[in-house]
Amino acid sequence: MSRQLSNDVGIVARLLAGDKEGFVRLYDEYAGLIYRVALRVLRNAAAAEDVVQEVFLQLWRNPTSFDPQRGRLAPWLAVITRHKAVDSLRKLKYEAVSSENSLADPVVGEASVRTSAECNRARKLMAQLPTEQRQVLELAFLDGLTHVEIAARVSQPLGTVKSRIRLGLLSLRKELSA
Amino acid sequence: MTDHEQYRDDLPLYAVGALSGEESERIQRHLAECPACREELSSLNEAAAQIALAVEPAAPPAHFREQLMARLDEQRSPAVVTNEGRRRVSGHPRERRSAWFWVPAFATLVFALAFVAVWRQNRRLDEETRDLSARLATSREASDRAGELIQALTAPDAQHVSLVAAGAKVQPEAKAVYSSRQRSVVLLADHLDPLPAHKIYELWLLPANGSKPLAAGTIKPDERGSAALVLSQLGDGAAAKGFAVTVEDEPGSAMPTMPIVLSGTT
Repeated sequence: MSRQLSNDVGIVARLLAGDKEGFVRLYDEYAGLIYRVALRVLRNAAAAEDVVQEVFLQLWRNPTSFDPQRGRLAPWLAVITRHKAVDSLRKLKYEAVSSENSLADPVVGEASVRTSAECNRARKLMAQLPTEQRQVLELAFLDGLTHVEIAARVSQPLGTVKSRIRLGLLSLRKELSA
Repeated sequence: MTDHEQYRDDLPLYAVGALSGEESERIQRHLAECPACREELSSLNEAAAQIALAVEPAAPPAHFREQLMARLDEQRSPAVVTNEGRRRVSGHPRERRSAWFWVPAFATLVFALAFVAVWRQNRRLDEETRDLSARLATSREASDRAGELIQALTAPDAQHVSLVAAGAKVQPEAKAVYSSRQRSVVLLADHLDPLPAHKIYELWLLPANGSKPLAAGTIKPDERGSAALVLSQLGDGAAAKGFAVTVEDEPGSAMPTMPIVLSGTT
């Protein structure tokens, strides 16, 4: 069994047993990741903290919502955090505040070596994409915009935006499996 | 371009959440019946996760950790909560403490067994493309829609109106919607006869394989004879050949008591 899978299974097993110490380990390992994804989407520290709390309490209440057999914990957490944050963004019609004041604690290093390696690889993959592809992927996934909204934002035809999203994501997948 | 090719072409947009609600719903309907597209989406979702993983580092404030730990104490233990699949919209909760007492231990045992199974499959698992995010993405929107629907159906001010042929007498009736895959059933009943004290209507799932009826929740009609029930984590996901409703003593029975008040086949 890979170390990462073993670690993920262990965390879920401890949560399932109601082990608070296991929860603390989970927090220390993944709070940074969850927080920064939520913060990036919402651009507001207080709203991001709400999402972080929601994600962790969901895992505490229902640890089996994550199935270690179907994937690693870090990408799963990143994706559900993104979904919750985008939902929150849309529901509250949150006005994105880009002032640095809202980005409290713009800190810091990764919480753990494991998470750090996974995130560094993702950054490297994203950095390899052409800027225009990276931009539309981030506008969709992190800013919660539809392709129509992205086209308006970047002043490009809809077809161009769709192509960039397709090419960008397919490139990511190809590099990921390389 | 065929419909399938068109949907497949749009899967990357769906994976990053760039489609409109209506477009997403169309793709979800296609995904429900196309294993090839589900597999494709699975790998695209993993690629999409990289966009989030690549976000620059930031950390929550130091005090947040303590706040969150304090919230844990307000929460019930996870093993108990995971068994709270039953949500009674009307009617009274059934006491099952004796059986639930063993749930945490049982859940832990089940997980331990699952752990061993995972260990044995490690090679395959390490190579397997992870599609959890795919399931999450497809099910999340469906779940949101279902949640809205359930809220509308079960709102205190929801008015249930039965339309019948002009002049026809209104009869007790119920509509059950069951998903074996989701292991959930929604029941809406109207014009039910009032019940004596300590009696309750109970819904039964009639398994397609002929095994014994499965208790699927209880309802107590309001003064207009209406009741609604939403039940998740029902049975083991077996196919149903039909549903039936009987009158039982509160808080419900393990086996149906004749006569059957309402019944219908799938």
